[in-house]
Amino acid sequence: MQQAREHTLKAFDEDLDRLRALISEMGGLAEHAIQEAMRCLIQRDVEGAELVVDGDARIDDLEIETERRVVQLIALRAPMAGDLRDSIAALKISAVVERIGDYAKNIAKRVPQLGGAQIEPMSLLPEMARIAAGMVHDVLDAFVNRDAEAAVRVCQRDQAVDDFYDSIFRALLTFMMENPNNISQSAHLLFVAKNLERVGDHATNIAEMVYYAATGRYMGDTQKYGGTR
Amino acid sequence: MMDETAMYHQPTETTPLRIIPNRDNTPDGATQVAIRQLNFFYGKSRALNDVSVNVPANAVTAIIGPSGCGKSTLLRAINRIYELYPDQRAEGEIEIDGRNVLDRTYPLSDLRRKVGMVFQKPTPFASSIRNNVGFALSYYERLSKSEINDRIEDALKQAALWDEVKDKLNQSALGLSGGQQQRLCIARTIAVKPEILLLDEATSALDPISTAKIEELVHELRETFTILIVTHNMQQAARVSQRTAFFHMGELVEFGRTRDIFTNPVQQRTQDYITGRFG
Repeated sequence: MQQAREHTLKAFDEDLDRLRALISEMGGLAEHAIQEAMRCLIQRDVEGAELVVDGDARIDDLEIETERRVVQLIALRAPMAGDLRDSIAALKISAVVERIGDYAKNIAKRVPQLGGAQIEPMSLLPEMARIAAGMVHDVLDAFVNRDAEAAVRVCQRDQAVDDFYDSIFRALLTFMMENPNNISQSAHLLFVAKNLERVGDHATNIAEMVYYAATGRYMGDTQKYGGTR
Repeated sequence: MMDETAMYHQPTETTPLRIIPNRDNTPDGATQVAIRQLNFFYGKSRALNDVSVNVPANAVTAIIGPSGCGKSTLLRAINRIYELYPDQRAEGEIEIDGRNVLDRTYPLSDLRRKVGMVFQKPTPFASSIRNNVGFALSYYERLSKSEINDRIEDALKQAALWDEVKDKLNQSALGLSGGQQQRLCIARTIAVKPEILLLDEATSALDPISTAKIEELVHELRETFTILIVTHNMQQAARVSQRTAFFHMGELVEFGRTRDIFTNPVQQRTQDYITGRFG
């Protein structure tokens, strides 16, 4: 259902726009945090990683700000139908984006602990991170644009992230078996890969919320997985 | 209390029940008022345009829509109050208990007894509280004095007014507050045991506490009556009704479960109206 028309009460539109802007800002920060954490990981940039860890507080603040504004909007504007679904979606999405920020922080925290030379499976991680961060970016665009089809496309990319995780898992296991000196770094990278895999899952969850907010219907498995499962 | 969901099949989440306007407005479960191709005219201007809807029994149906959309006209058609005015006429059918009440041969006194109506402004008679409720009773039924007193007490209790007026039944109804007067009008209406209650903006002149009392009353009364409520207050429609009908320019745009209409309406016009985007 289209929301093209403006509210008769302009302030209502401003409130909803502000909510979308908040989610957009949170998403931008979370996406940047993932990319920056990965850059620091690859380049062993310990100082940069500290900035990523510190930067997570801003995402946490925005989540609180979103919650405050949604509660206020429901109390003062009594949103209905698409507006109500959007408001609830914003509330839920903010909690998920906050979690995505935590994953980026977790990745950054491992940077000082890595030590030693880079091991080979590390080369797969940047691409995996690129896809996962791209899903976060696109799913939040889909929310801002109320684009259910874009949300479906985001879900369909999660399989690639899962496939990366499986490959990295196997490769790291082999490395650990081959040389016990690799175990510490491999274990850290395994957690990094797991964090990225979770980012993909969370982006998929957001996509489902966006789909419901935009259409009032729940996304079916066929749409979600593109008939591949 | 009757569970709302017991009246019809529960739709699954993926296949929500959709009642398409003017095609199959039949909820599962008993229909109390079957409206078919109703057209209503004020002189030459048409106020209702081919409205077909089945109003379910023992439930609250809210009628919403902008001013002039035909919602009050629909209530006026159901109890034929329009006949009091020249130049107003209805075409089509309104079937209650298997009979078309628009048929001129259908006795008005029977219809008045089946269908009670409460208006925006409380309309108590300038008489005692007791007489207000007892008047219609003695008009319609031959009852002994003690039977009438019992029925007055029952009606006032049902209308949640008894405790406030039991010690002053012989005082003038005009001394009551607006909210009390409105509940008295409801008591007066339900005293004759109608099947259908029509409420036309019955709380719009009341403060929030009186409004809440009437809403609670409507919620209780739906077990006994079929209730149609016209309201400009969408929150009220959402709070008290199980079905909602959205009218626009004399046309029934959408009719469905209240929870669907307010979370996920099918028609763009409904969405625009309930979200406050109607220009």
